[in-house]
Amino acid sequence: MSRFLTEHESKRVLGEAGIPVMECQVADSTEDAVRIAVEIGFPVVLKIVSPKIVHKSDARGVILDLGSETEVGQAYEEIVENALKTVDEKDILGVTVQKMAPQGIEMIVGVTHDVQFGPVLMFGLGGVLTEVLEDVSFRVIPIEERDAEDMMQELRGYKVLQGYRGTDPADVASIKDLLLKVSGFVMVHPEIKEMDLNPVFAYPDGVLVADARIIME
Amino acid sequence: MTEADTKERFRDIDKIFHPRSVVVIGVTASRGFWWLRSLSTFKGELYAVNPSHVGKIPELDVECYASVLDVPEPLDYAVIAIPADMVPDAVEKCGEKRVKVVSIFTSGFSELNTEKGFDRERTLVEAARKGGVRMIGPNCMGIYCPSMGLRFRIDQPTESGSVGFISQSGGHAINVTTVGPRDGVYFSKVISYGNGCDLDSPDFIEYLAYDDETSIIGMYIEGVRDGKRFMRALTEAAHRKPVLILKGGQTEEGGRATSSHTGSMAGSSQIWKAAVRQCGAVMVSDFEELTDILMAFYHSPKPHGKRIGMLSISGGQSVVLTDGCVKAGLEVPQLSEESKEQISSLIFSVGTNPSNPVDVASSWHDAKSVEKVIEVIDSDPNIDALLVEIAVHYDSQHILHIMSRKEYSTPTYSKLTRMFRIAKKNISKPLFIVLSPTYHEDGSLELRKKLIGLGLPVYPNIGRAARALINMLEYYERHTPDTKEDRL
Repeated sequence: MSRFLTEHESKRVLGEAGIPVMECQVADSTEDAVRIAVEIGFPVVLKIVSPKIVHKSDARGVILDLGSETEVGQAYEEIVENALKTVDEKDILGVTVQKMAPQGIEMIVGVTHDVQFGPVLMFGLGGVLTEVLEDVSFRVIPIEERDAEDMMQELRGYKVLQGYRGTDPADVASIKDLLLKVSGFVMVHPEIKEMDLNPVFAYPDGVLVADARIIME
Repeated sequence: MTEADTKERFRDIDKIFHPRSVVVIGVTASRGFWWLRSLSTFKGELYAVNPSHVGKIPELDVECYASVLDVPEPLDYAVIAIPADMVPDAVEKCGEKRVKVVSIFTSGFSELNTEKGFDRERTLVEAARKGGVRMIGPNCMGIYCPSMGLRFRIDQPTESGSVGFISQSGGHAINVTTVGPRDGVYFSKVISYGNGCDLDSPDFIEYLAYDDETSIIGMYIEGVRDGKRFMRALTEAAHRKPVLILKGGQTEEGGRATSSHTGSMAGSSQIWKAAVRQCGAVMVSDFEELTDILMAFYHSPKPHGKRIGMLSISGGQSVVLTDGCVKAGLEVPQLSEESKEQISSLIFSVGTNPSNPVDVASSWHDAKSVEKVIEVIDSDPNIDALLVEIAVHYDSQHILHIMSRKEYSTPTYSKLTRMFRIAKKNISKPLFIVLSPTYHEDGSLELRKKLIGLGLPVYPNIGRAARALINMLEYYERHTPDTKEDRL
């Protein structure tokens, strides 16, 4: 029987492993959500927290880019209402509140388990393109620096990371570091079965994991 | 590892390829004595076992015994081809006889994917352990080692070469050894290991990695028991020599349970591709690509870059050649001014063009000049490898037939062959040949044989030639001695 770590649990362990994550706090009421939003500053993102909801977007449990206290309050109500359509009230632990990550190049970093090779790392350019074009690369964990470079260069969309039409190139060194750290993290936690860091944003200086989910054996 | 360490590490497995005596258990006249006749070239002592054939088999001059225990001399290697239920007992008897290794042709074991099959294989493994016998198979063709005359088909060449091949499938072991000679590719050691219930793919990869008679390793594989061990062996081997892998079975693992996005996107074939690349080996996509790239590694010196200098008889073909190279990731740069001048002085008939590809037009019939042009391209600093495209219907013998209304007879291409023999001797860079389609297929085949005989890799189109070359380049780029990526 597998279980999964919710977003804030996943981010806590990843953060401890030195992986840059967008920090989040769990609110258990509308007032709480508004208080946190004011404290961290707008715009913010709210997401459902439930051990029964693996795919938060599918359950309409994510609302982005909230610019005011009113919007945050409404979003909290809406997310809980949507969640109640699929899970019991006792399974709703609250809603995470976090800063809206600045726009960067959207990426996905993931881990899955192969019956023959064990844990496998995946890297791709994120969002709809990942799914439609399946532009992703794989390596068996543990990886070395050379593998991290290959994983980037094997993508058809590698040029996007190098900067195009005047956009700044992504911080390739930080992406490489992220891939190596995720590989290392899985090596010390063999109980991890699968993992999605999705999305991860790449900036001209650094990377940031905006959402994360870890599935344990 | 020192040489002595290597010897010690592979002492047991090396014996497989150098037996002093071989016994075939299960000889049948109805199958034309398949195994005995295949092994008629074996350089040691050959014996047979079959209770209903006891005595000398006259047409083969091999002594047949009722049991392996009756053979008066010591036995090193046994080929077992008897019904599945009798195999474990035969293996146990081989143990008593102190046979070192057996190769089991019989199928009907774990590959059936039934309880009965698994049970039989377990019994077999126990029998082998008990007797201290090492096993290849079951469900395999065993060993082809021409230097010892060990074969599993009578049409396998007795000539040795430098390709070591490991195959999970007996069929592909046969295919690759029968296609090889067509391309001038010969083998050092071929292992068809079937179910691999004892000796498995990593054992053979490690062995061939350190085998001095093997300079290229090819492999057909469908799956592995221990992915990590396979990757360690493959990394070690690919570090030492080129390893080409054809992975069979592109379908997904049935019912992969997954809750992650990543899991839903990860297909087993993608992971295999990644793993092979990670080890520094070359993943090929089909059997044709496997033999194409084997031929390149076998015949061609190491290319030092992706800049191709080409020569063709037709302007239109030159354009297509360039497109094909660029599509595969090669470059077709300008020749140096010096080369252009030299080429212009060598070929000057109407329609010739000294740019790259060099379009020799009707100067093609002046073999001496064409040979010189090839030498000029070879010494051009802008060029790393050469490619000549030929369509035999432009060959002088065909053209003469058209222009002089002479009777047509199948050309011998002796002038052309002589020209390439000289060129091959005088140049130092890789030279690839594309033999384009033609109605004169008999002629084309004749020329192909001659060029292969000269040790030139020949391809039927630019796409296949270019892909073979780019794969070769990529391997060497990953394994240049001074790059940090080499993991050993």
